[in-house]
Amino acid sequence: MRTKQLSNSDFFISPVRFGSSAWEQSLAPIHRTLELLGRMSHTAATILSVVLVAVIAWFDYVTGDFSLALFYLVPVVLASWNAGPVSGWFIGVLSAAAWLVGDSALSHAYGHPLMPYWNAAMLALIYGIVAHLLSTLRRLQAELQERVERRTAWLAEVHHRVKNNLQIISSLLMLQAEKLSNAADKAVFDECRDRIYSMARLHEQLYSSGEFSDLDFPAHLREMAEMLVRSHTPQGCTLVLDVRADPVAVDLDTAVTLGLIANELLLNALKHGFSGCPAGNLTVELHGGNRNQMTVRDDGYGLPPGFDARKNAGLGLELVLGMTRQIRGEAKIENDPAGGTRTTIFFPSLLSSETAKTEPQPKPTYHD
Amino acid sequence: MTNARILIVEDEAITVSALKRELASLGYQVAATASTADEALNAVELHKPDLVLMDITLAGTVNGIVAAVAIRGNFHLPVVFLTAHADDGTMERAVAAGAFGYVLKPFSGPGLKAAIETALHKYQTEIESRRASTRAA
Repeated sequence: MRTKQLSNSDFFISPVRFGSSAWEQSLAPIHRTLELLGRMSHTAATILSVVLVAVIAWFDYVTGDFSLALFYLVPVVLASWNAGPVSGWFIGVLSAAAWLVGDSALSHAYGHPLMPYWNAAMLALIYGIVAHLLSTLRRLQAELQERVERRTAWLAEVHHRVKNNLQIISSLLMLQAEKLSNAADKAVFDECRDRIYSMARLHEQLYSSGEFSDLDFPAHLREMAEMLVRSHTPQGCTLVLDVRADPVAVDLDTAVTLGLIANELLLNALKHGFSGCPAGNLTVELHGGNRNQMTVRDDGYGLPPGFDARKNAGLGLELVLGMTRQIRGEAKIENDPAGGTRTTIFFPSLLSSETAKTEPQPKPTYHD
Repeated sequence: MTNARILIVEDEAITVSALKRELASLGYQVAATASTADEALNAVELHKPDLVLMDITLAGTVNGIVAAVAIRGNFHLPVVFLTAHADDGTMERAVAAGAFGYVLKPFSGPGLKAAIETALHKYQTEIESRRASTRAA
């Protein structure tokens, strides 16, 4: 049934993009013209340059005493940019010769008979230097562009491999978990897979945005919460998830750690907060300010009486406390007055964390 | 549509093993597995799956997007991409190749199921509208 030999290049889409601002839009015709000129073959560029030299020489002759020596730079630029230094030099010398012919035809009077030849030689030298500089610039530009393209392709490959490796680790955990008979043991592996998933999504967002500063942590938080609720809502329980995330700027290191903290808190709420409940509410909030804060709140069973986070912490909570310390934050774990558990992570804003990097790390405080 | 028969096209053996188990736990059957575009086309011809789950980077010289176009063109089957590529360029090429879904690695069970069910539903709707237009003609 197959009729055609396939190749990957059949489906290559060139990623040509123009800027969207009014300023960039107004420059688009110039970009297109330069692009067209840039695509011109060496021969076509040289021939066009020779024609331009002839046209300018004719104007130079017709206008008489007005000097048009500067205009010869146009064919020189065209030839050297498109056809390289040899063509550039050739057009430069040709331009100087054309200027000399025009000058001789107009019978200008000079103090010395060799003066026009000297002037023509000077012009040829100037045109030649321009040709040399421009062709060098063009070569460097092409080399730089090639290097950037190679780096971009390499970076894309690294991102791809990172994600693929995370997939393999996640797959291995899944396959290992299958050998276990105890549901609680299996759950531990599932939790590890959730952590990997959370990190992978953040990595993906970082790559999609292309800029560390454009990292959209609120979007990541929302996506992660929705995924965890979809996959970990206890059977028979109808959960309502409410995510209220302000556009808080978070650097990459903090985002990864904060994402993992949110992952642990949400898993904790889903695992222990609602089992046996027919319905429940889970709220995630992220607010900015002098000190940013992220809150995970559920209206489930709440903390057991006499709960002490420092003494009763399981692995999840231990990780939360450790990671909070890592981002120079403070964790507040308490029973919500309306019922259920509320955990708030206070952490420094991006600006204050930059200044605090050199300062000693504060000890975290816990309110149980 | 549980019990749908799915062809896995993936060149990473560990991921294939995990996918087989995940799909089984979600209620699907794995019709066959393939690691290259040519194997995928042969497997489609031989096993006639309901849906193809396709990685983009495959063993061999032909990638998953090209293989998907060939499968869509010759066998009219829905293809869902399962890939680590999250860049706009690859996604645009996948859409142009007629992708019925796009799942990013590492995958989650619910995400995979949602993509497969959406693709199967979309494919069913496509078949019905094609039948209706044939009858009308």
